[in-house]
Amino acid sequence: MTTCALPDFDRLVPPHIKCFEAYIPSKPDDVLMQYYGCASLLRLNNNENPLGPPEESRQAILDFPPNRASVYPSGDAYHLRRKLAERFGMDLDQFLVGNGANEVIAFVIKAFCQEGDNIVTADKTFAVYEWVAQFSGFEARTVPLKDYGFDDEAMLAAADERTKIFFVCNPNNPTGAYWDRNKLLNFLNRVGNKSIVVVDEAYCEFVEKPDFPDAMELLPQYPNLVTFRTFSKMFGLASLRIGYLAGSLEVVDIIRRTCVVYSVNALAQAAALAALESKHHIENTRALVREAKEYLHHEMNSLGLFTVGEEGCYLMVRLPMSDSLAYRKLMSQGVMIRTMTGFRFPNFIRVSVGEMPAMQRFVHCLKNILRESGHD
Amino acid sequence: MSASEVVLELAASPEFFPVARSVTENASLAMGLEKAEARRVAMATEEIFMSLCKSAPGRKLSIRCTPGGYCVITEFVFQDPGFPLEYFNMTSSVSTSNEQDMANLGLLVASRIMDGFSVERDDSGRFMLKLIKEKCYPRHTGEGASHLAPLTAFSVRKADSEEAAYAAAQAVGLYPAHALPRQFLHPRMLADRIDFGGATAAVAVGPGGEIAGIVAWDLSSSGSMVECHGPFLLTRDGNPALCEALLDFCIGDIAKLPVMGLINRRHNRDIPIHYFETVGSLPLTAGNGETFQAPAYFRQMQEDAGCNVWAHESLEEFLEKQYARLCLPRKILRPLGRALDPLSRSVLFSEFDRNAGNVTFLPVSPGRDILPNVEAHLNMANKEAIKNVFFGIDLGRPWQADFAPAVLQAGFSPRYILPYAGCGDMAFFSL
Repeated sequence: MTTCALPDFDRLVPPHIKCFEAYIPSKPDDVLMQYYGCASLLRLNNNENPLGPPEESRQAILDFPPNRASVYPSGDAYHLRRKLAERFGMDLDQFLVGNGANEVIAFVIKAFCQEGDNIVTADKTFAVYEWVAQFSGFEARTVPLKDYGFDDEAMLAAADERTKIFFVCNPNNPTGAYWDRNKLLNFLNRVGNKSIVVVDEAYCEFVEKPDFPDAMELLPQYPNLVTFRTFSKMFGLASLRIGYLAGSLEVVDIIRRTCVVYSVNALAQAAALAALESKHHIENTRALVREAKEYLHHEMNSLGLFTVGEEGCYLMVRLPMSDSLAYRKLMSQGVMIRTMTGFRFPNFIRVSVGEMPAMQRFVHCLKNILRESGHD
Repeated sequence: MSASEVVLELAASPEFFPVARSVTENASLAMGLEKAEARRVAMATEEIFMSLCKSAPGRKLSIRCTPGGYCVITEFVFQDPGFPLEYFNMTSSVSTSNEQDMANLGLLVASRIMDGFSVERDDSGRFMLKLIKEKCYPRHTGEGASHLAPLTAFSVRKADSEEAAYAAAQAVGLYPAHALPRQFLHPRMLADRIDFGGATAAVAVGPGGEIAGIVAWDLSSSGSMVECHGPFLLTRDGNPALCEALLDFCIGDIAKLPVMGLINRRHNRDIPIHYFETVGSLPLTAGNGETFQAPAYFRQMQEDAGCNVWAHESLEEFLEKQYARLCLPRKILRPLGRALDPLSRSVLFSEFDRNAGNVTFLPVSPGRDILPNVEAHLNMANKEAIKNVFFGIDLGRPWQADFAPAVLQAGFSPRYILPYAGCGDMAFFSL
């Protein structure tokens, strides 16, 4: 049998792909549990909603007829977009639904960037803006945070005539800091119509502060503003992968040209549609997050550990040891958190908020490892 | 092919010999080697090329010359199942009465005149033989170095090559030699590596622009590990905040790279060790006869998802204890072994650090003669009066498991595991 030579990668692979390394997601729980020798695994690493999806979505999932699995979904999530339009008082063509918010990030970058263009975002934030830009061949200019929040002045200073998009994560993941309404308005005014401003509001439903801006309300005033929302966090539908963007009709019309239709499955569309009908889910989740964060802040303070995390369903904690060592030690006790070295916060961990027993177990295990390491 | 490389493809036929020789010599000169070093590269090329002309006549061969900043790398890619790699053992010798030995004398010469080599063989039986020739750098004495006054404020930024060389030269005068990496003892080497992109450094700078500290780092040849050197503090007082800031900068710079870990194998009093895990230590004898334990520090850069390691049963107990102590999720597997040609001879790479009086032996290729080969290497180290002799086994390569019983029998003891330092974890041994 003849074996053909490998493809001519030198010629075939663009330079920006050659120097980009694939993100390797963590192994499935059962495999991790085997390696770490733990009988159960408490996931406090992905900012998932411990309450799961709202009742309405659960019912929609149960009601989903299995034989509909053989039928293509609505290619552009028509009913969901109509519901979103109704809810926010906008046109349904102002919405695009994607396979998780990650997909809509790619839509926007593909729609506006060409060779030589750049995007501007923060260095310590959700990494997907930076990744998508880089593996698409565009420069990602990352600006250091200021007081754990996005630095508006530095972002503007980092921009030039080739800056097509600013990405602002509000509130920021992982620090929980946010721009208030005045700061966001001031930024939008200064950018003018020269670039697109994306405000990623993946965690906006967790924020209860009165000065927190709702980017959706600002869309009529700022046609260059695009906002991202997701059903993965507050609405507990992470495994179904569904998120959306909203913007002016004109901007969304451009973005739609790069949009992959039929990428969102029918079950996700049905569950998301039902989630928008939920009555008490947001309220219940907020109450849980409030209680758990208060408990965590108190416990971390009593251990003398510095915390960061004003808003959002997560808290960053600075440890007196390497975060990746803490990860392994917590994993061997069945608790999974997120290390922050990859976010450029060495020795920090990010803990997703869970129900009280989960929080108590985390604190107990953390105390164990600090004691073992002589840091109690 | 990158813009700065020179690649030659030709047949292993004697009529092309002058072409191969001339290309590698001229490429080496163009890439910054002095005439004498370039001539050595040409000699090594000549010997390897002539050997291939005999063992794989007419076969296609590719020669790639790549600049490395401080060195030139000459890589030979060829298909020759009978290539006598064993002549790359530092212990190899030739007998004038043995015809085959004499025929391979050239390979022996080639291995000795270069500063380093590595060999890989892919699944199709293709060899990739890489030879490294370094530039010559003067060793810095550290003369004139003195501590700066303590700083009240500082900032940290990436260093250019001149700043890094200057700070390294200062560190030579302020720290013992065993705490310093080779490129600090030869600061121009560090500068060349930084200019070429093979190393990076950050400096802490005081309000008046004074350089008050340095940390440098470089990617390992496997690409999975970054080795950091320092931080080194150039002020009189201890300044943990400054050292932490330097290390934070280093970690931030590599945080988004797909590297598994950050290691530091040269202890000094200013390293913020709470940033690391101490994986173990090696006994070291310094040039003045002083003996001490040299700890190895490791910091994992990714969340450990667990992996399998290959080990001989003689090493299992040690590995189990170490993995439990370090809380590293590993499955230890015993390789089934494979049939080796009765005449196959193992090959070891000898990695010298002559400044520190160290040698580390690393398996390159398996064979039927592992124990005598390991013992021969030990004898060589003894004859050369090398005080610190180490052995490394890559637990990610099943065939290297066969080296463990011989290494233990030769008197080595396992000291520590460096996670992901090779194809998998590396186990290090000392006498």
